[in-house]
Amino acid sequence: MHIPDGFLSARVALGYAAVSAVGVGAACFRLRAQRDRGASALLGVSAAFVFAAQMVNFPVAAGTSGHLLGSALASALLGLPAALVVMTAVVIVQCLVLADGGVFALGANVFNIGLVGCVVGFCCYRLLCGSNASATRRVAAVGFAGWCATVAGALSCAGQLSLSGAARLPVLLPAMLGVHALIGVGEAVISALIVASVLRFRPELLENPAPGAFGARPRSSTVYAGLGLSLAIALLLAPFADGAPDGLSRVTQSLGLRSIAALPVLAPLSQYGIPAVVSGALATVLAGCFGTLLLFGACWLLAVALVRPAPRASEPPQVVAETSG
Amino acid sequence: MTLALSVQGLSFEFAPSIPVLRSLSFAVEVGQCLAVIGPNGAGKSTLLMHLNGILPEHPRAGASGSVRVHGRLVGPSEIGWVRRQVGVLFQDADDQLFCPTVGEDVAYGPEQLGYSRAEIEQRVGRALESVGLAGFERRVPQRLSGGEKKRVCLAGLLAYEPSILVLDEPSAGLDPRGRRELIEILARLPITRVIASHDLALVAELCPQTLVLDGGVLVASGPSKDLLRDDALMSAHGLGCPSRDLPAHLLLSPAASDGP
Amino acid sequence: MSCIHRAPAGLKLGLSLTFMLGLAVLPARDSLWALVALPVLLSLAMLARLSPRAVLGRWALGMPLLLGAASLALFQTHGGWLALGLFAKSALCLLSLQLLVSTTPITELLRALRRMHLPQLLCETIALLARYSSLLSDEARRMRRARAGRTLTASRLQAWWALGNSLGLLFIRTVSRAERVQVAMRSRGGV
Repeated sequence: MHIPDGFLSARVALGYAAVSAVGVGAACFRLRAQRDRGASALLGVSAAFVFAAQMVNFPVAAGTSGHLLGSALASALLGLPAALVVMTAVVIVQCLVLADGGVFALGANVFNIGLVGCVVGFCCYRLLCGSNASATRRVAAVGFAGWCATVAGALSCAGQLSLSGAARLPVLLPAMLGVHALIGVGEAVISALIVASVLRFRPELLENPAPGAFGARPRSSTVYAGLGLSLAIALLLAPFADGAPDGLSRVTQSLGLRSIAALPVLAPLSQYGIPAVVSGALATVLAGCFGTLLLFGACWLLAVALVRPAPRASEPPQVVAETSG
Repeated sequence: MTLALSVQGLSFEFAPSIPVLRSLSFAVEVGQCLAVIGPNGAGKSTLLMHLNGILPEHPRAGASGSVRVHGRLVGPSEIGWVRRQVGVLFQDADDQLFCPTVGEDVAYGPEQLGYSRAEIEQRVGRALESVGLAGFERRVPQRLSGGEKKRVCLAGLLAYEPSILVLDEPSAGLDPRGRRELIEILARLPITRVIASHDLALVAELCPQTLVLDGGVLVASGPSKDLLRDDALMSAHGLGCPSRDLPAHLLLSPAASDGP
Repeated sequence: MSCIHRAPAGLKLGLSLTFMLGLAVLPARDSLWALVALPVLLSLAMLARLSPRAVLGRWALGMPLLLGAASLALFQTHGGWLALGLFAKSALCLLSLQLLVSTTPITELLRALRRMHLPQLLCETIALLARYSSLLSDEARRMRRARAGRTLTASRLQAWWALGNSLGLLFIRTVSRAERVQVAMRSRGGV
């Protein structure tokens, strides 16, 4: 899902960079208030974990292999702000060390994989887990959250490419959604496997997201639902918006802020060839809903298969973890 | 002789009814090199972490007793001073080498203490030289050998000149050359050293005095060579049979090695 | 160490970004003019004394993805020219980024990013990532091999199960290591 350089227009790249900067800055600010010296250790080493995990080949078929992305997994294991910082670090290092994903497009990539991926993944996970979830429920939730995060990121990516004029939406949407709906299945399964494994040995790591206190205080489900819903609306409608609503457009023009109008905003659909696009889009959305429900059922079955009965009571916390004596 | 370290009645448990240390009392003189030996699970690492205040993490019912460094009680109000005086070398070098380059890692300690840039660079250079790694400032930890990593960790401690050095299994995972280099460096240091180790040959070579720990209890203390030669004591506490396994010259007491 | 390697990281990053910005604002119909930058980039690679085989090989490896992405542009009027232009632009950007990456270690880039006011917490995370990723990859590989040594069937299902388990255990080890790194940081950093 990493967009290489050269495909995004200047406005889109810079616009998304600004949004990502705000989002990541907010996450850092939130974490700074909680951390003490050395607490960045968990963030950094977790980022190294995600980076290393992404390189593991999960054999699919005939030479192709699946890979973990990790946004939803990180959100479940570390909480939202920490996951956002971790995924941002991973995307930046992939760009600046492996040349994977563009550096000019960094803001857009951080938006898709970090902001969208983590927020959607986190909201799905928390919504589905509620409070006091069983192991099976957590595994299913993480799997489904992984799929949603992948598809949402792909949607956002398609939106950015379309806004840049690189390709038209009726071509982009089926191509990207189709491919990533499949890739998302792999993400769901891998995330579920990892969480099932963690739950077997250190279940407390998922009760309160990892020691070092980045834990999210439990918030009401309505907040998450609201967050998730508005994000979904923004993502789905944004690429259809050909510009700001009339009023906003006039204002921005007179203020000379035309470029900002390129940012996706909640907007009424434009007059640009609507009927075909809308009916097609509606059909896609409906099909998507059915597919989503089917997939959620599959995740639940997978979780049931993966989760073994809980082991005996855990041992004392391991500060002196693997040293002798 | 003034006391560098004084431990009185130290007890600690990770969770209620799982005691790890039971009422330990011992003292270490300035400049002395003390070894702490015992089987796995004896509490050696836990003890070492009390010496610079890492444990107890917060005041808890299961901890009692006191640790004094140069006469001052180790407690929440003195933590900064204690960490400055007591440098701990942990067992896994990779856990401590967390900066991107060797130079930055060795500079980490002095930087926290607020020295000037020039002073820090001088200290880093001197510390690396004293462990035989002059010029390693720009190297990356990933590409170093086990022995080099351990020495960089040691340099990172020497850079801020603690008065007491605490080492947890310093020779673990080192190849023979790395081990020999480390022993030579440790032998040359004039400061107080406390070494927890399974490597009884190292203990015999470096440390005149030894404590034997088993099940969190101090079961014996005294001159190292006497304790190591005591087969009954060694085997009773899971330490094998040093009198058979170690080269004879290591276990000769100074008086005997003068020869008839 | 060539002069390119020694050049300040911030300068190289800034030049790359400016170059890509220039390409991004180039109108679609003039995209192919961007190819004049190609000899410039190649001579920079030569100046940096990078092996031509390595440079071209890495560049070629990235082509299929660019081709695939550019081909999405085909399905519209003047799609062919648009796709060609996109491919040309993205190929040049990729070469430029690969040159940046091969001549500038991440630690120096990190310092430049810090000067550009990237949040301190994010910089520390990236530094630790750079430090520990190879260690964790090695651990992951060792765990996979150990498990493979005891895997007696060849089913893909088993493979996925084993890999998932290895990564789960790796995460647990990650948390333990993070705790120990935290202890080491506190030990040398005062409180």
